[in-house]
Amino acid sequence: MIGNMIRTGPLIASLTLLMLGLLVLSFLVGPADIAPLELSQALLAGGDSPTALVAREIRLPRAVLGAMVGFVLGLSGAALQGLLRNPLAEPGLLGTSGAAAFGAVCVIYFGIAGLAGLALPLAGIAGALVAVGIVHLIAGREPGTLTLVLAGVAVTALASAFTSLALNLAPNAHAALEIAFWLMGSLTDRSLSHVGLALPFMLAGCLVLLSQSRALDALALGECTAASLGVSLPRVRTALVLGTALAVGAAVSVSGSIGFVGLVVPHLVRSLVAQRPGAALLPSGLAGACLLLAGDISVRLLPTNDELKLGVVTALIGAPFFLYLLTRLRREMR
Amino acid sequence: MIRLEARDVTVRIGSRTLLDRAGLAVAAGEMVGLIGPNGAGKSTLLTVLAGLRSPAEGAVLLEDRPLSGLEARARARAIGYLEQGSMAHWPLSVRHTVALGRLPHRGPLAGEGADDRAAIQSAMRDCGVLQLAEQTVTTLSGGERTRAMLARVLAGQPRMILADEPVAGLDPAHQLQVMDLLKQRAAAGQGVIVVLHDMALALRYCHRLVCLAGGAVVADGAPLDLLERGTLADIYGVDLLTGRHEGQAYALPWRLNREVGHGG
Repeated sequence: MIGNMIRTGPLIASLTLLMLGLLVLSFLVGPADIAPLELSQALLAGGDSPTALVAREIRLPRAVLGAMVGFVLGLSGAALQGLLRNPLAEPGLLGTSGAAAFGAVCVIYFGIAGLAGLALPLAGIAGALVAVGIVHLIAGREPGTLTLVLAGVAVTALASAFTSLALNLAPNAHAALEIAFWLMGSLTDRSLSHVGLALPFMLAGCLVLLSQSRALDALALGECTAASLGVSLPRVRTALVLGTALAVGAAVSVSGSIGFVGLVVPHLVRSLVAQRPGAALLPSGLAGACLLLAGDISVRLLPTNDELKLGVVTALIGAPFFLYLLTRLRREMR
Repeated sequence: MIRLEARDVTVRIGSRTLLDRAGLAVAAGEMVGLIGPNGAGKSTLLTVLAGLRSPAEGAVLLEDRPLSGLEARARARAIGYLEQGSMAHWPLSVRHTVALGRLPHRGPLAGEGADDRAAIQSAMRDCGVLQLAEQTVTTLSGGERTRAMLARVLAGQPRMILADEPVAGLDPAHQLQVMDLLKQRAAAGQGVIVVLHDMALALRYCHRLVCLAGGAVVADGAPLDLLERGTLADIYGVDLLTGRHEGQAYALPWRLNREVGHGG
């Protein structure tokens, strides 16, 4: 009877609470040792005191971005796994991550990043949109799912080749290091204007992805049966390509590539929603936000000389955990 | 009269013609068997009838109106389609799998209503999968899975049921069980088209048989007539062993008929 009892409501509520808790914690933790109350008061009061600046310009954007980026990665991972009916799909699959990263790397390479603060995320988003265009061109007007994936793989390969080229030809060691570090993924030194720039894209992308929940449930029975249940496959594919491009493109543009969250989170969530791919969407987003916030808090608490890059930490934890999941999955899917 | 009809439909892929002006109609309360050798276009015709593939020429009509003019969800409510070897790609419970059959009935944001729950429950009861409700559909045996998938179709309460080889790979008892279920649906007033390879089942269960060969309909009539005229033997290129039992005719494919010249 357990399956019938499972409702996503309590799960969504508890994940939301956890996310809010971690959001507050992320806001309160940092190198500047300021009492929680003082920091919160400074944020609410505004002004230009050092404490208010730390609260508004450093802590707040970092916490908010952590939640947003994590949400996007978890959600898009779950959506793509649902579309492909494959638990190994991840947010970067359709080429948008790689292209967004390359767009941002270009800006660093040409030294524009220092001149205009938002040049980096803007170039990233532009890269993601170009990737959608190319995928669309390769895959044709009504692409099959396999064509779509292959087009995504091709775009990713191309973007990563150009990114390597940029690293290879970097004008100086400093630029190369900056590119390499940026690619690792991090949430440090982002401002509220980063949040403002990426938020609309992420929001739009997430809404598009969430709207496909029913269709993804139907796709659990295969494309033909889903179509017989009234699902328009071309519309689903277009929605997922556009949704991930907007959301993941914007996320990568402000945070760099943060791996494994989008791959691992849906696995954790699916077992809590009776394996329904549509029902896994929103909880995956929330769980992704929790995971990324927790990771970003931990890099600030770890006593390392230089702060570890968030993407490095998620990969270090994510990869072994993923292996564990795979061995478990093998038993379940048999 | 509720009717689903394919009128002179032609389907081509590249230079190959899969269906050549094929026509087929089913009325409410009728069980039609779609038979013919492998590659005759049976599955293609079924997907055309289900509105999943649009023909290059010809039309599919539901109650004398073009199916293509129907919105996808309305079409899905009217026509239930059981894919050949239908299976789930995630380890869903049987209950959740059957519930997917209600998707075309639910509004974009609406949850499962009392109507939905009642339909799911009665479909599972009819197909004998109530006691499997919480089992994972991917771990069921072939017969159980077919019944679960059929329950998914019935949960949608479609006016027409199109089943593509629902008894393929099932043991004799499960074959009879699935055919009984389909026949009950026809008796309850739904139209049923079932793709079959088993001549004995086709003869006993169907009101009418439509024979497809090379993408064209070569015969359409009462099972007994087709048997007596030798059509059934001819389309497969086999000699039949026939007889009667309990007042019903049966036929078994006995040996290849060399004269007719069997391609396979």
